[in-house]
Amino acid sequence: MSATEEESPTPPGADGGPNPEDWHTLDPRTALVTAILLFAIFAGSSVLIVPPIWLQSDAGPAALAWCVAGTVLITVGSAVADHLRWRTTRYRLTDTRLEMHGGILFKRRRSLARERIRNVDLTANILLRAFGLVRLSVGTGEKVSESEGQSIVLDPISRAEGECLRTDLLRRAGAVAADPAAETALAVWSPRWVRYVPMSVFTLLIAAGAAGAVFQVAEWFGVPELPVEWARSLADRFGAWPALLGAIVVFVVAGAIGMTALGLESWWNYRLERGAGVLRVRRGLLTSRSTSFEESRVRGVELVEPLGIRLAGAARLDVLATGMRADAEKQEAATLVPGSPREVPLAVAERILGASLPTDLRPHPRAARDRRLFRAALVIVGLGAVVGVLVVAVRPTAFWTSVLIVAAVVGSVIAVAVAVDGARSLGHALTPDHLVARRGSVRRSTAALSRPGIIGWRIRQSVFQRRVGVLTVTATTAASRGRYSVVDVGSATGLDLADEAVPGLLRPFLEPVGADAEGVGARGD
Amino acid sequence: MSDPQATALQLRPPRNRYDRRVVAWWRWSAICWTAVIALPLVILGIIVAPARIWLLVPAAVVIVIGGALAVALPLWWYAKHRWEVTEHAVYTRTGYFWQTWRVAPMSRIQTVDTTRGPLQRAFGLATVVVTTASAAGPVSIAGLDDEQATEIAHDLTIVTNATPGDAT
Repeated sequence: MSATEEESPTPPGADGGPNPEDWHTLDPRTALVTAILLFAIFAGSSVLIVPPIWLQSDAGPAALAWCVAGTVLITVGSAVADHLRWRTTRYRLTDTRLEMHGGILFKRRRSLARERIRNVDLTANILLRAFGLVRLSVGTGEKVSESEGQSIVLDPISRAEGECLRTDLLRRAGAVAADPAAETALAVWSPRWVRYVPMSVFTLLIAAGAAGAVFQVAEWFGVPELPVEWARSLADRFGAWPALLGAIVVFVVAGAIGMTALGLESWWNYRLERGAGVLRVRRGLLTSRSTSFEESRVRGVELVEPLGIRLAGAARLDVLATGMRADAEKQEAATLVPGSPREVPLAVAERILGASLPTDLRPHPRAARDRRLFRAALVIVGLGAVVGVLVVAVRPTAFWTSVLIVAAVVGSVIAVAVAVDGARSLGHALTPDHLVARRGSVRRSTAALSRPGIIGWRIRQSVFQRRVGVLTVTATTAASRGRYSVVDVGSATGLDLADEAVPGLLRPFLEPVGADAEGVGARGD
Repeated sequence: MSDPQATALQLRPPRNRYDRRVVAWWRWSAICWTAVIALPLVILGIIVAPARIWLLVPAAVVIVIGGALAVALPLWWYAKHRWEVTEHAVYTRTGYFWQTWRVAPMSRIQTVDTTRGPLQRAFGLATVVVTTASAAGPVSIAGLDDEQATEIAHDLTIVTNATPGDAT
């Protein structure tokens, strides 16, 4: 048990709280919402299942009866269960804590100290929105392994109550005087940003997924050879190359459409607001999401330029904040500004950092570029070897041999381009408040980490780096990914940078070059 | 930068070496790992006659490489691994091929633990694990005398408890 979550033996209302009547219930319509949702799912699948059976065999009536009975049973059962959950769940907000207790089989009490609450999220899927309800999730922003470690979820409460709680929970003692309506918009969605959404590797992944799905569906229907036959007939009709390129174009377009739909759902109505020491991101077309967190948690920002939108002059802005997980599925939660023309995220970065993100970064030595070119050379040798082995061992037709060679050549060119571009991306700077580090080509990232947010250093040098006099300086931090690196910086420059970024921390461990390195230090003390 | 570039600086090695017994511990670890991989291969090689050569040759390779590592690497590591605890920070250096220096300031340390693996215990050794709020992993000193480790962990805990703030 941690400090913020305590099992309390006292029953609700008996622990000297301000008023026992302060305990609230969730919204009673939750049972209805659950019933509608499950009815929609099961009735929908029944509609898909029953007609084919009815048409193909005489088991139709039996199938219909089973589906109707199952749908009714599950709808009623889940509604009853949810109603019981509603009846047993209570929450209240005291002067110092947010408390909740409930559970049908296992009674649970959970209590968060208000002063430790760092983020409040409101989400509402389309069904909850229709009823004017939201799901409110409160967290302390601390890293815990179990997802339910230090958070309270109220699912659902009315929208008005949710907004009210959000404002109350995030109002700090010092900020009481601030007008809650004084939220200023730092950035607002523009429909023109939609064009950046499909410029992503995920478009290609969806395209590949769609191609795979065609085969899967063909197999379900017992005709696994069908896609191959289509491909063959297309190749006969238009020639092999036009058919291959055409297929690629079709799938990429399908991927782009899918990606755009996902992006629109996520980011429609996006709005970034700041008020009373709290940042709030609101977005969503069908499911509305509102994420609020304290600015005191912010340790900097990261300007992310994936290759696709970078070529179009756009970028995204992520926040570096303590307790913000940066793993793939949580990445959207850390995004302050979605893909948009570079000026937009840069302007927001300036407002949040209090100074503009420096553009004239100090480049890294030639050795950094040589290291990347050497890796590209390894990739090229590898591609050549794979193609060579395949051609010799499998003996493909002339067409597939040329496809392999074209793919290897394209891959080699990309490898060299990524190496050169990646080396050009490398750079660092030290501003009065931030350490700025830029790296990457396919995903170029410029991280500005607040200098007081640096909680340690990790300096690493491989044998190869040692030979050419570069090293990688990593600042560790409690925010987001936990570490941000200045990669392949000249040894002396890198150490100076770290020494200056956090005065006094590294200095005791530095010595002039040439001092007797290994002589010091006997065993023990 | 802060100095007018008069003399270039480098990281000095931390003052202390690991306990001498760490060499033996590393050796036995290497031997155990080698055995874990090689033993099943040897046993299968003896049982399964047709595949004997395909199992015994890799086993021999594993044993030769593992043996060489067990003899040479620990001495090298012993020369390269260093640690130091000052008034203000914990400072370690590990590795050779990817040499890593780590600095964790006292004010940012969240927890200090000591751990002892079964093999480590046999040699009277312990690891001190110093955790900060960063996801970049803890700073560990993996080769101290048992009592010394307890003492260091104790001292570190006192110092870090005396520091206010939530270390983020």
